[in-house]
Amino acid sequence: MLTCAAFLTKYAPGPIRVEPLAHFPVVRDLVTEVTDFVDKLKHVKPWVVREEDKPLEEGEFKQTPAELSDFKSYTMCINCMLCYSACPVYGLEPGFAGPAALALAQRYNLDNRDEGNDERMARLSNDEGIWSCTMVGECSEACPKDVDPAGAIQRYKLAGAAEWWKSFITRKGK
Amino acid sequence: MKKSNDAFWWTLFGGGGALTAMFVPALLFLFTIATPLGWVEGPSYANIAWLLMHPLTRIVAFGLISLSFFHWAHRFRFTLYDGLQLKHLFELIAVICYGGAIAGSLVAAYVLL
Amino acid sequence: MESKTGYALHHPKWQRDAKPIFWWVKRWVYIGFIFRELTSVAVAYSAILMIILYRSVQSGPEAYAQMLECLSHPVMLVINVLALGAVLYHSITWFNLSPKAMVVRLGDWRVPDLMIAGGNYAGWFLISAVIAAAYILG
Repeated sequence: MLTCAAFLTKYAPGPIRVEPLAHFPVVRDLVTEVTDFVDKLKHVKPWVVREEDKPLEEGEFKQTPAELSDFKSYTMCINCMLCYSACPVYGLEPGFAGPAALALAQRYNLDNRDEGNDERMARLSNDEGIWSCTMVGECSEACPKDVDPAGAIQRYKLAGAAEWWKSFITRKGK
Repeated sequence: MKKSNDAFWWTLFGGGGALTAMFVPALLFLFTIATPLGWVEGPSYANIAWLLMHPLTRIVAFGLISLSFFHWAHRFRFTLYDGLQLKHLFELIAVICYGGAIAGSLVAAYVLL
Repeated sequence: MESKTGYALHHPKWQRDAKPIFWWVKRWVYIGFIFRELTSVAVAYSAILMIILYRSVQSGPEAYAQMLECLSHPVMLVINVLALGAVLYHSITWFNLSPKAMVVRLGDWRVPDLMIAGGNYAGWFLISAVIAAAYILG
């Protein structure tokens, strides 16, 4: 859990074990090297991707509360990386994109303003993306903000599978 | 990063998982525990032969058996990767798991269809 | 690690501790996860059993009776009880996870997780009841 949000009295009488964030290389003492996560985050393009930017004259994008609620929990990610330390797959395979990166990819995929689904799918539908996840579920348990990355990844797998079958059928149809 | 065909295996895994979760507990319980222990009287040979030999049953049963094998293959493959950390043998493991599932399905097809 | 004067990007090597083979024994959750994955073996076993059952039915009443005999053997009973336990664990964990994968919206309203899981469980009970009824009533 987040040390900034944990009350020692809750864990009394202890003992308490303080360790650096698991699954990240340790620089010194409790400081870990998190460049890997940052790179993965950049890799999933966590911004609104559009074919063409909407001109200012057309006004703002409209989004209903229902549309927002679809991906709202994924916006809550604070990049604390607790999910990475909880995920055994990430610990075993540092190439895995990881829960937060995939949840944030979903956050933009499900955003109705975004058009980057295909791009992200091409980057993430492989052995180091969504398909390495074995749905252990610990990421969602560890998340202090209830982002539920496990659910995000499951939905992504469904979308990825649908996408695969669609391209398979259209390829065969040619 | 090469395009992966994992989506295909995952679909089979999911379908197999759902079907087995729904059908297998009841079937296993009735055939292998309730009947041998005498808790229920199983159907007569004539009835069960009729039911199992019906073409529709055979197709459904073949689907269930085959998907069960593919469910096992995909799940076991990743368990070997993560549980025993055999990722460096991934080609061999994939061939054994999916090959086993295909072999099992062929056997099922031979017996059932 | 030796001290550095540069920024992180100049790390000579990122030292990551390799996970021990039995990393999953450390926490109950991980053990539960591995058992859940191993239930797939019980599923494959049930499939093999079904093939053998079909074979025996095809071979005639004596073969079928012989198979039932064989299943009554205490060793087989123990194995099948364990298999049933594994398959039940598979079913329960599967249905509990179903809301994560199945996101159903009716208009603006998202069907709550409990109802998705409940729906799956209901389907399971229904199917099991039909199978049991067909079996017991012949």
